[in-house]
Amino acid sequence: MSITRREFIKYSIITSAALFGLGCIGGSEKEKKENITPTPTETPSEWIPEKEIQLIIPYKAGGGTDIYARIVAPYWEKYLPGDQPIVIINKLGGGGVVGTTAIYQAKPDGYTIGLIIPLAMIINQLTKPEVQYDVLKMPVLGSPSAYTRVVCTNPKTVPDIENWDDLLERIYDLTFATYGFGGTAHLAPLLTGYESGLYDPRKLHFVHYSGTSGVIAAFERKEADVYFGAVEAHTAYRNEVFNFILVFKNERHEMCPDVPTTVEVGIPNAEKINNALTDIKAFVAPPETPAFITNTLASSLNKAMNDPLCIKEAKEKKRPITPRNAKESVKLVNEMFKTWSKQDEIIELLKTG
Amino acid sequence: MLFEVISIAFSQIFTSLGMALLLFGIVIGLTMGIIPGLGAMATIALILPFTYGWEKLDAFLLFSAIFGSTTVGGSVTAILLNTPGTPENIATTLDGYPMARKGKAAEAIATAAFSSMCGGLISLAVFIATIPLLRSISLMFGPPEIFWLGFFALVIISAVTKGSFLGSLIIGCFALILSFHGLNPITGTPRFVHGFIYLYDGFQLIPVLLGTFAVSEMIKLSLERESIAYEVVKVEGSIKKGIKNVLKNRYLFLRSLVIGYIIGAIPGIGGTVANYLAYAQAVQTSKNPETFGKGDPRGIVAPETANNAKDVGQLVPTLSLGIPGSGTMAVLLGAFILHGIQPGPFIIRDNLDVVAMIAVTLVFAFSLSCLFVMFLGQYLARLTTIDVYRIVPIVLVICFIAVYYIRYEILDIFVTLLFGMIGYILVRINVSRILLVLPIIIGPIIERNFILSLSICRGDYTYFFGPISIFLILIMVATIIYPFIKRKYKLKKMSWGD
Repeated sequence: MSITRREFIKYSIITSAALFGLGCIGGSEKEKKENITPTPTETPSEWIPEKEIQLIIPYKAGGGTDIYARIVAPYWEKYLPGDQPIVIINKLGGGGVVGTTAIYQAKPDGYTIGLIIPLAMIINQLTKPEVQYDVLKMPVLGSPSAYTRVVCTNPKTVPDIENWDDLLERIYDLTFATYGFGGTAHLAPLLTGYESGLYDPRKLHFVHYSGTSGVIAAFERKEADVYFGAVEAHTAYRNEVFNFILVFKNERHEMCPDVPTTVEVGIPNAEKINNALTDIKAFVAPPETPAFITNTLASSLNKAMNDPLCIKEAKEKKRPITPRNAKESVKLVNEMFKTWSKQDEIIELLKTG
Repeated sequence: MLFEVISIAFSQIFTSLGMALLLFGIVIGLTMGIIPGLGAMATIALILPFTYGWEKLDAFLLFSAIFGSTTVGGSVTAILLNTPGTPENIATTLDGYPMARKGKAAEAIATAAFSSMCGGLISLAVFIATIPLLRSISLMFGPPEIFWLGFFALVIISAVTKGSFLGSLIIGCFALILSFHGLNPITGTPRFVHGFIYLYDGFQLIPVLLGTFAVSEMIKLSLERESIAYEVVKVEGSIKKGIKNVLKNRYLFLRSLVIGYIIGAIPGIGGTVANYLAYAQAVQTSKNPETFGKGDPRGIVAPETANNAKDVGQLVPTLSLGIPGSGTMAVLLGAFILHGIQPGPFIIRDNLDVVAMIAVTLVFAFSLSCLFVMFLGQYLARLTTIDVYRIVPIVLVICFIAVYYIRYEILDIFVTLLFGMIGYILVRINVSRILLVLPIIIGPIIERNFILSLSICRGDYTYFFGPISIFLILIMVATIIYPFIKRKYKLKKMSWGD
């Protein structure tokens, strides 16, 4: 019954060959770049996909970014010329860096695109020398959502803080919770301090929890007093876990119209701060993707995001769509990059930890 | 209200679609559990996107069926191949595999299955009875308590690990150093990544686990013998013996159940610690600890009871606070979001129907999967008599595919091979391979919660010594000194006898 060593070696070689083949699927990057067709001068006005489009999500299935992709993808397929599916691939690792790098290095033929969080990827780009992508070189196709920051206080530990002025008075005594070092909940109080000059952000006391759930538990355990959360994500916990006292938006937010904005309370440079902290998710393509392809993708995406059924489905999934077309999204990403690349102190802090 | 939603869950399961989903989930869960490396987390993550657009109760029926059956599937691989099918089966290898080599694989599998089933079902009863208290239970454990618990787990490893003391110390420290690679858990800054983005996430558990156990075991088997079992497997009476093993050790069973449930209920400590702690208490409270590691059925009863109890315990922080108790629970929270349920402190209040569906499905999943395994164990046990040169290539191919599938990362396969070689060296120098894996799991937990506690306390170190922390410290001290006291007492008794 026993097999010979020769047979054993044979099985092993077959296994190795199969695995090597798996690893080589898709060919090398150099090979990919050499196969770019057609050039912009010989391009048709519209691109018709001939095979499935891979939509890379650098985050886990079931996460906020993944769900937006899953909501929009079927409607996007509907408005894309041809009859090709959009297949979602979750490529995890390095807090989104691995997936974003995969999108950046993909063949720029329209068949690989992605959904990224530009602010997080900009911060990674500015603080981590190993990062091999450049957010500014990736054509932005549109954005399905934007999270608006809101200052949340803990009703169990600081019930007497009812507005921004109350908070400023005791700001250095309070404990600021974040959902992770370098996340928007951490960047927001830092940027507000540096840009407004109302307080010294270096004197704030931060505790970096793991994820929003960690922050909610910390509020319940009375370990933290303040959190720069997101209106869209935390309205469900309003009053019971969080008190909302200030919204980072130029005008009042429809989900909490009773909460004053940064502009209203007179925070210096409020609009600049608000734009830099607008946490959008953006569909992007690899650099050098021909314009006729990105135009087709962007226009069909825009139609999909404005489809009433898509908006309704998103609302039911508690992931409201606030569509931004390619032009608006690019403008916002560029502004964001400009603001953050000038924040030398924050960048240094994030680099050194 | 609770009884109403439970009856809705029952009626949903007893439809043709419900039964089909339940059986499909159990078969998939068992299969993925048996395949080394692919536990509930990977399986649910794979299935999750396909359920988009499903009725939420159908989706959670399927997830729970998978979740409830993978761990018992993993025990089969741990017993037959000395390779934990899931990270939660690490301790089962310690006595399960020696039993398999003695030709008692079917008995070992039956013991594991029956312990798992009873552990899961009793824990579920406790879970349902304590639903109103779940939130307060979860909130009792903050960063300092989790820090001490992680520290306790490290102490336990050193207390029960056999083999060369110096070698164990060196390997344990080496593994702790490895656990610090990757992004700093608090500041997110890269540490020891040497310019490789691959190392941003540190050494991934599954390649490390499969390399250390599966690959090294296959190297060892290929070099040593013709089959896993020394003698022909005895089939008759094995299921009965397995059940007897559990009933005979009912106090050990109950202690392990409590340990599993509590460890599972503590947010952030992870389930892998539970089975090892349960095993450790089995050794420490035994009158004849020298039989452990040589095929003692109590070494299976303890970790396997704790395993399913821990699975239920993990639901406590997940459903009461929205804090995932493990990687699997993090994926389950993703499933909540995907189906329009906001994870957080109000899941139970706002979605009692889903919670009831999870609990009811788990009752069926625990029972049916364990019964399947108990009866299939007799046939699966025959694997141990097959020529190893047939098994080795198959196991290696499955391991490599499993490793690659999880992240589509070819480098993970090389890491698996590397740890396979390190694992084999450890076997040769008589050092427990568990020491290479557990510190990689526990290290980041201890570090994260230590730094968190330091930043919360603002210099007031009494924060580290709350009532629960002091209790944990006392148990830790007792764990360290108990074997010495016991030995001294034994010596004294012997001298009296003389």
